[in-house]
Amino acid sequence: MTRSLRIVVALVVLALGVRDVAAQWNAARFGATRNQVYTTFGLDPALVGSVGYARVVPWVGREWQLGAEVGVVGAEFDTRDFRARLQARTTVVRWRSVRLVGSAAFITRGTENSIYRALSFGADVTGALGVYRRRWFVAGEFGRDKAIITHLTHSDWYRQKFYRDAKDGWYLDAGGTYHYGVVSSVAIGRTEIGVRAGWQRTEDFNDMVPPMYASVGIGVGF
Amino acid sequence: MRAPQWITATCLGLGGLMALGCETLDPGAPGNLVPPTVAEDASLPAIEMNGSRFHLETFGNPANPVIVFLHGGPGSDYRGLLRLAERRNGYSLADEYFLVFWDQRGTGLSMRHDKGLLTTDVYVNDLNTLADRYSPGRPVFLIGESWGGMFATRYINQYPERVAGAVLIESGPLDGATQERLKDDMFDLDLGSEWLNDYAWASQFLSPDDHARMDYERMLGARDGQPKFHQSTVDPQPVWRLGAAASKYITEDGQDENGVFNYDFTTNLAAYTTPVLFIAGAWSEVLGPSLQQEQVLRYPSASLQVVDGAGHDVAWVKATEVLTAARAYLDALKGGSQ
Repeated sequence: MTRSLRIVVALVVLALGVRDVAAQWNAARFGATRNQVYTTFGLDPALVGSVGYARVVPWVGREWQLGAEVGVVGAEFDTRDFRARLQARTTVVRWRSVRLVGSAAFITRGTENSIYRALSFGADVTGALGVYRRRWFVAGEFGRDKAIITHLTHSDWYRQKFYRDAKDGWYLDAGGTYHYGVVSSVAIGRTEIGVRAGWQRTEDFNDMVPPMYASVGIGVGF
Repeated sequence: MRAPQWITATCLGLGGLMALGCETLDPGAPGNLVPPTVAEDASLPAIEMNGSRFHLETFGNPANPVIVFLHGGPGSDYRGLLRLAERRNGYSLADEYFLVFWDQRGTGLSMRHDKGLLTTDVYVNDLNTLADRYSPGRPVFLIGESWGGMFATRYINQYPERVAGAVLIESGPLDGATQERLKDDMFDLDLGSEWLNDYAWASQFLSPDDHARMDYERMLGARDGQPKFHQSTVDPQPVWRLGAAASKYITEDGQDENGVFNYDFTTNLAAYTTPVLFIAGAWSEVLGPSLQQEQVLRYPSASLQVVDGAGHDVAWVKATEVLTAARAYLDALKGGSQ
């Protein structure tokens, strides 16, 4: 058993022993406790592992979950390929157990590959419509992730092999994706285990590689 | 959708502030990420034919027998073959032949096209027109590398009488069944591999929603995606631009509706009795000596020469040896015709 798997199993066992304290991925449980720490891992769209903290605060008559998260691409734990998100979530519309939960995130991403190094600033806006009960929820999500401005620095190898005069600088509106799929979680005690999976397309609905995303997460409320 | 507009506007504002004082660039504009094509830069050497504009250079005396060079890919370009036009060991093919280098439709610095005009039938028609233009009434020699070897065979299969001889360097599979057998070895598709994660992660920065960004994305796997090809990292075979659309649609043209390769470029090769020379790089694992030993047998008269010290990019890193082999082959053909 790998070390990371042991940690996950330990967290699940720990969670099973503690009940009636809420975690807050599930918007129906925002009011139960204020804080959550969590970790996720999955194909999103590369193999990304992330850790985050979120806190629920009341504002203009609503409960808002504000969070910060950092993620690193897992292949060879390459810290040059990273993502940092500042995110806000709240219930936009509610009817009984059915909710439309909206989220908006400001995202900074970095990467370094064989042809360029990049730093990008963007935003993600997602809506998730589904059934939110106290111990579980399942929702369909649809969102748009936009790389608003991206700085590219081309590698020497790219200039040698392909295009010597490639332009370094700030590229406006270089990318964006739509994602649509299912998001769900189950709360056990103060721990919440979540999954998220779906498909992604470019802004013009062209195919992407990989075409899907899928991640699992575990969070603890306190 | 009030919230999304608000968020987008805020982030655009943030982005604008960050970019304040900096010139912002358009990723789709010619010359920014990938070089301009002949459709965008009139100073590039080009010809018009079959409703398109092609990047093309010639070397030597037009009165001499014509050699047409067919680059790899599909989707690559002729830049990586230009060492074969150089003078090496006191000899240049241009001393005796008229050399025609061209970027196939939609590739390199040739004009881009969408799906409908990127088929092997259109490619064969382009080559036919090119041969008519530079070698009217007499057959041409073909030197093809990788996909270019497949393209040459496809042409010979249809027009055996129009080809005076062929050198096939590290040719790709000449039929779909062989392609199916080898396709999993062509790319390193380990989910944990650095290059594949870089490729996937790059989709968050640039979306392939126009030709320039599609081409740019295509180049992400060029260095590390094909380790079994054993291509040089210190002397990389250069390319102007990988034509993503050409690569995708020409490849799809050889597949059935389920994505299974079903092409066969060998159905009429029995009609081609002229000797053909195959060349392989000794280090090349997928399209190297073992495959070419099989493919030699597809022609009635063919031989294989293996060049030591090179992988799939043998035409670039061992250009002198390839040139020597090609010259010997062409000399032998001349001797045979006298």
